[in-house]
Amino acid sequence: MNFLKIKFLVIAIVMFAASSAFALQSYDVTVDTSSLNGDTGYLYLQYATIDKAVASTATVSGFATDGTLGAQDTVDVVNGSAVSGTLPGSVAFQNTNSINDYNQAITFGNTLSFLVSFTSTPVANTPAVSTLSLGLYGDAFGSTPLLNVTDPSIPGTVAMINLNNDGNTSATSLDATTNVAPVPEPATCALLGVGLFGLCVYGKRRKLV
Amino acid sequence: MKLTTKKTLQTLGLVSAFSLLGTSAFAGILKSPYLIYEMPNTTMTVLWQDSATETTNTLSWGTDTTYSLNSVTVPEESNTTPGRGGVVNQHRYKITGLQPNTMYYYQVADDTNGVYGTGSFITAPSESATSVRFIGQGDSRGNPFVLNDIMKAITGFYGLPGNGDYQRLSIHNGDWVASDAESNWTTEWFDLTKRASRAFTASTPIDGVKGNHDNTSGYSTTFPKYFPFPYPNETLQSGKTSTYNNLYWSMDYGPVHITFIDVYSPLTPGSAQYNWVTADLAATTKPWKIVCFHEGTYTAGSDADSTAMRIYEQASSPIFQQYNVDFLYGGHSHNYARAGAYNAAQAGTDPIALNMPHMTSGGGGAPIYQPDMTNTGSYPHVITAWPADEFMTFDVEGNTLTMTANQVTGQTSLTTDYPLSNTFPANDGISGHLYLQPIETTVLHHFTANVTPQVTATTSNLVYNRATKLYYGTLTVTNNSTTDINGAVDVVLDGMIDLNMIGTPSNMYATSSKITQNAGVSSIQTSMIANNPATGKSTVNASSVALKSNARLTNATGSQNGEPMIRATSNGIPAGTSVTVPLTFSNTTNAAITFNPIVFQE
Repeated sequence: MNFLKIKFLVIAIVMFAASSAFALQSYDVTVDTSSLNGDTGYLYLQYATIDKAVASTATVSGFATDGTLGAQDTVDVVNGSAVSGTLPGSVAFQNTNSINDYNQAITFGNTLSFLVSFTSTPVANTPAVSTLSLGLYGDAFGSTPLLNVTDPSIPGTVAMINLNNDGNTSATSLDATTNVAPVPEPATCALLGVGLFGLCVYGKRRKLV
Repeated sequence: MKLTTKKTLQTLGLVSAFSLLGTSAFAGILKSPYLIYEMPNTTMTVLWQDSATETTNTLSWGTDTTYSLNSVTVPEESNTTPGRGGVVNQHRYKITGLQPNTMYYYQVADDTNGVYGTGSFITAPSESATSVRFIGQGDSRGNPFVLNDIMKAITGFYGLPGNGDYQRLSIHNGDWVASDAESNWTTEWFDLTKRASRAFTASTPIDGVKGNHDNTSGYSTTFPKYFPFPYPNETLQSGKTSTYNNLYWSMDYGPVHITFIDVYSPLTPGSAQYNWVTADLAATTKPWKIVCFHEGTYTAGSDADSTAMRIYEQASSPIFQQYNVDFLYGGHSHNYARAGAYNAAQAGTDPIALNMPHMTSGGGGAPIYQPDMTNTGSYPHVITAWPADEFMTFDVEGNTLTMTANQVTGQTSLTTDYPLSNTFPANDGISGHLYLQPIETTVLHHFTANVTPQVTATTSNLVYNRATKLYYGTLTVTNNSTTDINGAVDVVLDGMIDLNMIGTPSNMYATSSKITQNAGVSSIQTSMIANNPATGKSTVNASSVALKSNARLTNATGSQNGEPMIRATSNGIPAGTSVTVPLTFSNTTNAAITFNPIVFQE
């Protein structure tokens, strides 16, 4: 095995390992709102945090629905000062306060979806978390949940996506109508691709030899 | 430990004492019968002082008010008895042969003058007892009317359901009277016209230590005369016949060991007292250890913190840690306060023993001081404080000690008040109806182990509910080690104040002159939580080390040293597995919620 082979192998292994080690920090959220089709209500997005020592941002982008968005409601949010943007465009939430939220009227169609991605500077061994969650309500104040209505503590909330201070992410769907799926980040895909390419090149050269 | 079956008899005994004292013309008596506990737990010491007209004084006792168990003649103490110089007309009898943890009743009578007084007491628990309750008070000086109110309130507290066995002991952290003169003791602590006081001191042994007002240039004459505790190294002042220093001592009480420090005798490292206290703490096998003194090291003012005690604490912190002293109990500043530093960052440059409550209970009757809540001046490390006439209760149950500061007021406005007048003898003609309001409860646990290094604790799924205005999340504890964690596992949210254990007392004196304004304190306090709580004056506004007082863990299952705690599991966490518990917070300001989870095995 000559030096070039070793170099390819090392690069491939490093890239492959890197792609595995990096957490998937984007999630695709899809909600089946067919049971609400034609109803009016509110989309309530919030970014809640324990320990803001590690600053982070959650960005909602790629919003799509066959329903109709109404006006953004800036009155019935708890703290919108650290939230920027308006749907259907991107909306960015910073974890400045313990609650950073966004409320928007909507006439529901059959589905809605969006992408959630995070940016942060991870710090290991800290227990804190920031959670981007989605709730659907029939009123602006969040007192009439439309889905996940029997939840004893957070009725109306259908999806929660966590960013821990160590950079790890996790997601939970709270209603059968809602799917939350991790989406590999472009950078992660690139790393994975380079790693696979390296392994292929190494394997081909080895085969030739 | 409860003696509820004897509650009726007990109340009858107190009422009897109260009534008897109320009808007595005090003929022949200057100091009505009172109690101290000198150990062991089969004894109780009864003291009183005649007016030199008595013939034969008789002490009788029994397990009911027939006092049929025994009767003895008790002559006046001798002036020539070592350590008892200066006593005049003082009687003292140490009853022996009693059963531990048992209610007794006694009567003191004179052949000529009749009954001097009656009372009752509960003997100390057995040496193997794991639970006990008792009272704490301090700075009773200068105002016998208020002292009478407080003692009436404590006695009324005994009468509340389930509280009967608090009667067994009160510890006093000093400043019993305004001055150590005979006249002060007679007209303040022993004022015969203050019938609630007389009933209390006749029915609760009070053990303690002297304060600066009980002290003259390091020595005391009258304090040891009336409170002759078993001082191991009581030292007669040169050229005097009845003046002493080195009035430090210690006592065992069930599972508790209490060490009393004489702040006014030498206590620098190497001194006799320093060495004695060190040896005392090393020798005790009791699981709970309290160090009691008058002038505190870290208080909310306005009487200055003791420089001597700070030097002592600096030297003794390793000793306190080594021998697991649970908390420090002092007075001097006339209010309630809890000070402390949980870690070195909070301590800053101050020589404060870490993770140890510094309790001030100085609202025992003296004029109340506004606490300095700023943590910016002479009183650093204040966590909570409140200006109030108060006393404390201590409740040891196995591995848990619960201590509560109780405000005594005349207000009826709060639903949390306990109307004592319904349970304690009707108005004694001096104080009106009194009410109790809890100021703060602090709980200390003796955990089996801090298992934080072998676990990870992560929070997730934090969602705010606008309808309930609560934050809901989860806490997952994962045992990363190869060793099982057995039994109950608790998580302390270090860095938060446990608001669940803080009361909502009113301040009945806020608009009157009852409170002495504290220099530097410009306004009446409206919150019990200090500014920048638990930061030192050298680290003011250091948000990274300050306790957070805006958020409350509303589903806490307990607390540890003023911080909220939640039970993660009662069934252990096997190696490599996790448990998840819900967390619920209220957060009125919606400012950042911050805590550091510390995981303990019960």
